[in-house]
Amino acid sequence: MDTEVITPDLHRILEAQQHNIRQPVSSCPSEILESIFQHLVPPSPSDKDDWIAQDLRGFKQFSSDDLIACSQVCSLWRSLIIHLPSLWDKIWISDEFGSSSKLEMIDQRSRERPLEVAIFERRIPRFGRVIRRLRPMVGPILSPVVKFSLALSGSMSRIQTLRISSHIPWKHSCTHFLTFPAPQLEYFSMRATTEDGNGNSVHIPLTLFAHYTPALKHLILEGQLDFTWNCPIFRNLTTLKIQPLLVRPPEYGIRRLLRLARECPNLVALSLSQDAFRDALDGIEDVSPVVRAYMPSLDRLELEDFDNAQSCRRFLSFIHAPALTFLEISHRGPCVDVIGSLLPRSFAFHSRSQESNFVKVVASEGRGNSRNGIHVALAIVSTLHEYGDASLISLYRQHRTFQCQLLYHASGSPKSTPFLTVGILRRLCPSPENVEALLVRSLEHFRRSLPYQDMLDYFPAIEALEVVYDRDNLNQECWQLFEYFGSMARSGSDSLAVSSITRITIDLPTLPLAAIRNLVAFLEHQVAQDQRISYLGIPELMDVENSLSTIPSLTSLVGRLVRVPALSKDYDQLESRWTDIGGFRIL
Amino acid sequence: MSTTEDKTRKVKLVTSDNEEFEVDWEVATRSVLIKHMLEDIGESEEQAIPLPNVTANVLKKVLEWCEHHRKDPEPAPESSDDNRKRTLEIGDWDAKFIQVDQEMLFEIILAANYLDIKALLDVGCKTVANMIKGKQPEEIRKMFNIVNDFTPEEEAQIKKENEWAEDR
Repeated sequence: MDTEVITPDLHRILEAQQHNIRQPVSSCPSEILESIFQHLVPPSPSDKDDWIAQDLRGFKQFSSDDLIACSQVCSLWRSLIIHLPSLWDKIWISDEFGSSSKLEMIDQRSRERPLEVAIFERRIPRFGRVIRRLRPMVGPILSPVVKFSLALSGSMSRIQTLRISSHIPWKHSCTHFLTFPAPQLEYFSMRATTEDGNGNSVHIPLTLFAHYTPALKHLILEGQLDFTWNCPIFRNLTTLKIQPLLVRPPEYGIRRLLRLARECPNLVALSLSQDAFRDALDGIEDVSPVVRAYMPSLDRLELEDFDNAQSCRRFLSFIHAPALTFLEISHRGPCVDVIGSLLPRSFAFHSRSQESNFVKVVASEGRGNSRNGIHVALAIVSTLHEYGDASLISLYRQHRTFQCQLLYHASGSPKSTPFLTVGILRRLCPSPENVEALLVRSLEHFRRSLPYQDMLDYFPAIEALEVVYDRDNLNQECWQLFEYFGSMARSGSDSLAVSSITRITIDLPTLPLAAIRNLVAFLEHQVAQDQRISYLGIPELMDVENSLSTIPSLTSLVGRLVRVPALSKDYDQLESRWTDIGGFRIL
Repeated sequence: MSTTEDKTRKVKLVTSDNEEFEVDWEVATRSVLIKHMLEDIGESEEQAIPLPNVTANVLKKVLEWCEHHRKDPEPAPESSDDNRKRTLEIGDWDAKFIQVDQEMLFEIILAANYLDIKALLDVGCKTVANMIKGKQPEEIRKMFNIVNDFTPEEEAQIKKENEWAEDR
């Protein structure tokens, strides 16, 4: 009979295991422990749209370090964790990641699982070059991309998601892995900005993924990328986003762009920005209409930060996208005229029943999303027939409702700049008789007068009117609306341009007695015409309280009088309030 | 699909320490196990459901959770995307509910697993995961009163892993 020698180590281990087994946590069967560990798996890189904005601290929270820590707690946990490949298939690599050996370890633990990888290379700080030169003397230093190249080149066949953000100029040898076939790759995103500002682009190999990416659906390219389009990897794309940065944009060219459009028959979402777009449009005059690209699946088109509206419109005329439901065009620079030229009378999308057509024009004078300005929204109830041409800037939803939005950033605009003219309204909405609700919002420091009279004259069938000014905005121009009401009532006309209005919501920073008197005159006129306003929302303000006490008849002039709480300055809240405010639903 | 009659029905549950609980059908059937057992025994209202793996004090706690979530929609069947969408967020009420000592926490987890109450099991697992997050192995051991039981070979491997994590 063999006798087993109990070494001091074995004795210690047995004792420790006996101790551990008595603890509450050990009562969990392995499937529950696995479930706990699953909650420590970093998120999928393809789910994190804002990952580039994450600071390193944020990025670090996506690491596998919690799982590694758990694997070093006790032998039971370790054996469970390292033998569960599903815990290791999402890898976030930053400068703080550790060595390529750690990467190899994670790769081995993931076994044959498809891998999802995000690589984030931090911008080298000031004195970073010096540090980088000195670092070899104190320890190994490799950029995350190089670590990936060293450890995972052999696993390219398993890569399902690859997102790279780099601030470091790459050597060709670093990107060798990009020449390997990637049969499982579904999502490839690359953002490169070099720090020298000399226009050095990151070179993407001509033989990207050996031209073998049968599963590639999403391609996002941002930054200074030297990239060739004659690449068959696009064939199955459903999402393509190209946003080169300013330094030296790659030359895409209109023909390449249109060929690309033709070569991606499954494209559902296309996003092009400034430089890609501008360069592409350089040769647009030479392009024959024959080369018009048919994009049967395109649902969403975003053209960002362009500065040539004419070319933009030309570009749009070169593509035929019958399924398009969302078009967003953002523009920088003085913009009112451009908006006008951008909005042709008919944009000839075919709107189909039960689908959305949404065109949003964002015109701004600065970059980024400045929140001040005026926000004019036109809610249009369409009477268009199925397959009829949808009017521009429209959102087609159930109940045959369209919504128009025009976000106009007025900051810094000289007063001479024409604002919302009837001409623009005509372009926005060629069928004003279909508009049933009009919502006008002024945010923050807007000081311009809105052409209320023009607007209300233009839309003869408005039932619901909402006028909202920020409570801190002491703009008195908004009172012109009441003067208009008053003058219309006093004229005694029974064919008021505003006679169709039955619901009114007013949320203004102040409402003086004179304005309320004009409003009352209008309400009395409506009563006399047997067109009593059924709903009136007015702000909860002290001066309104005082004024109302002098005009006790107000409640008897309307069906329902409601006090409107202060407007939130939070733009997103505004958006959410949009749909259901003041007693009527816009959508 | 539950009927109006079901919703007014009472269910008797008997714990491992022989305590009997009478609860609404809607509350009891948050547990898939109990729901299936009720389907098996049919209309017999008098028959108590034995729960030999759950003690009274744990069942009381579990029923508190079920009562609060009695109107919640049925959980969707597991999909392959489940792992992708995991978060560590816990609702306010659940977070307060699960503030119990460690022994009770794991008892609740085990009971939720046995009774097949996926949402409660999820709350328990997330709570433990949140306790672990951001901690070093030694801190985790201390928290769960676990001691190091690694072999010298495993220790050597772990040492190497830690060096890899330190290297740049």
